[in-house]
Amino acid sequence: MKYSNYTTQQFLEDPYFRQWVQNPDAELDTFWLAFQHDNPEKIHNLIHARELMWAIEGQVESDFPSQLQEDSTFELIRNELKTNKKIPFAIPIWVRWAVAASLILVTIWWVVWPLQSKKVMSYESLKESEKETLTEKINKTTGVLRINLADGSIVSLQPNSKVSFPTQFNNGEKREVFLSGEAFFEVTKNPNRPFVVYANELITKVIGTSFTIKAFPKDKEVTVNVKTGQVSVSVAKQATNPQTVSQRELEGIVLFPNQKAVLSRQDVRLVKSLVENPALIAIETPAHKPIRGSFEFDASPASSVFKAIELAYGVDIVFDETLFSTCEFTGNINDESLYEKLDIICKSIEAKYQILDAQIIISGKGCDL
Amino acid sequence: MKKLLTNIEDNELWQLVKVGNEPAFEGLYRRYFQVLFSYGLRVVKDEELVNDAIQDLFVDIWRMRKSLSQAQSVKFYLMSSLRRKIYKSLKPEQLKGEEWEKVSELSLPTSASPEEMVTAEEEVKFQSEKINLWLQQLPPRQNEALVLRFYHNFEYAEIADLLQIKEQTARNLVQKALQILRNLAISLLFNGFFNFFSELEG
Repeated sequence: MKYSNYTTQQFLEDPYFRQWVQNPDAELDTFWLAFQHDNPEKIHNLIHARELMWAIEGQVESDFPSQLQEDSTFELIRNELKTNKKIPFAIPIWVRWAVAASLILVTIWWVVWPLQSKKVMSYESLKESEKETLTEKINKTTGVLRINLADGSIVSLQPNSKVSFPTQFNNGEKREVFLSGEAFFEVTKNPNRPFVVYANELITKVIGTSFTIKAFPKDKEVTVNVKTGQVSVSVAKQATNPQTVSQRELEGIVLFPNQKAVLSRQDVRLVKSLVENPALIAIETPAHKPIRGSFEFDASPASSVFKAIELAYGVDIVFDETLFSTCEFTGNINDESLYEKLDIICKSIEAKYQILDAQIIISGKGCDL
Repeated sequence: MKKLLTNIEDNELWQLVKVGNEPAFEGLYRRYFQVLFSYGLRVVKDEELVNDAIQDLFVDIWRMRKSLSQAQSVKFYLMSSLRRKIYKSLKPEQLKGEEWEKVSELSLPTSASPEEMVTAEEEVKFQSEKINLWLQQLPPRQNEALVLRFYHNFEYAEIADLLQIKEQTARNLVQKALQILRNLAISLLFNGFFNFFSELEG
């Protein structure tokens, strides 16, 4: 089987592989699933190739124009063919929006003010400094309050929470929202108008994705949890102490699905880790269909077990392949959560795991007797 | 990759346009507008100019439908035609020289030996969140070559034509880009381990 010795680059160059990543169908899924099953040591090559393709796809599709632009331009084409007179398209500044939610990464942005002393930023103070008229929605009920924004985005507001946004939401270069409490955001894609959430001292910026932010006034922490897509979170610069803030916290951190960032308000430290209940995400097929029954092992080498978990949960596991090369694992851990799976495996190979910066680090002595 | 809404293959659409089928013409437009716009922006960063060129392109396609050639690859035809239209409308000062042709072919890598590639492979751990940043750091022509190859699925001969370079240069661009990405990944891994060990000693 030619693929058994392929490098990541060779997979990339292979049309059959690319077709599977770009336009999977049943036949492709079957083939590549079987291949992964028979060649688990190749799984990481597949992941790398696929990740690069996805990154390229994200880059290209972030430049995609809106439906409005597509429709308007076609009207102009139709008109020109009818009248033989050409009217060029003038791209309007006021509104460009596409409703398809998509996964886009944006670069870091934060408020730049001259640094003086640390300042605790609150929902109320942020609202006050906003020039535009704001509309506020407060959830005084015990259930979740769904708020539809004028751009098609949806905010699911938890009890005891409130959110404010400019009444004229479709004006301006950015879509800005202020949050006190907890909410789940589903943001429509618009590369030209980034969606920015101000929650205490944390600024979350996205183009289109879904995520939860938790920022109650009395909380000592502000949390961002990513469900789909990618967000970048950074600390408002005026909230930081120039002596202790790290470059990375200022530049911001990018979060992927199943990752979260916790900002400790007093220390102003932004820590990235995994969410409490990491969910199975894109697994062996790029169509993101979870495959049940893929965690049954019979004397499988530790490296394949870890790679299977990486692939299933989209997490990074760092371990010394040589050290654990003689470790094997037997067991069925299909029904366990990610952390339970790790517990069971580590116990069996006499190792420990720790979460560091959203990576899972495995340490131990190996299995040589 | 956007999933296409209809089952009609590009070539069938193309045939229908040639015989004057209007829905096919609109279908062709809608299938490729976004991709063409995104591609046009990489040729020149001027949204109105790009949009204008696309408008011109489709007006011409319809007006001259009877004499359209038998396109081997419709997407390739559209993209290379768009590129030509954009270049025609650029003012002389906007026209960049074909910079990447000037790069000495000696400075671009020849293909790595199989042994080299396998070794690099074992050390690589692409950090997914970094890939986006790395892609942006690549020289524009390398970035473009990656897009044309791994997103648009063009053959190297087609990439060479779109970028107006030799086919071997196109292969070298992709090779070099992947090499840079590998090196970035390796250095990140090294740094990662360093931090990890210093935490342990803590």
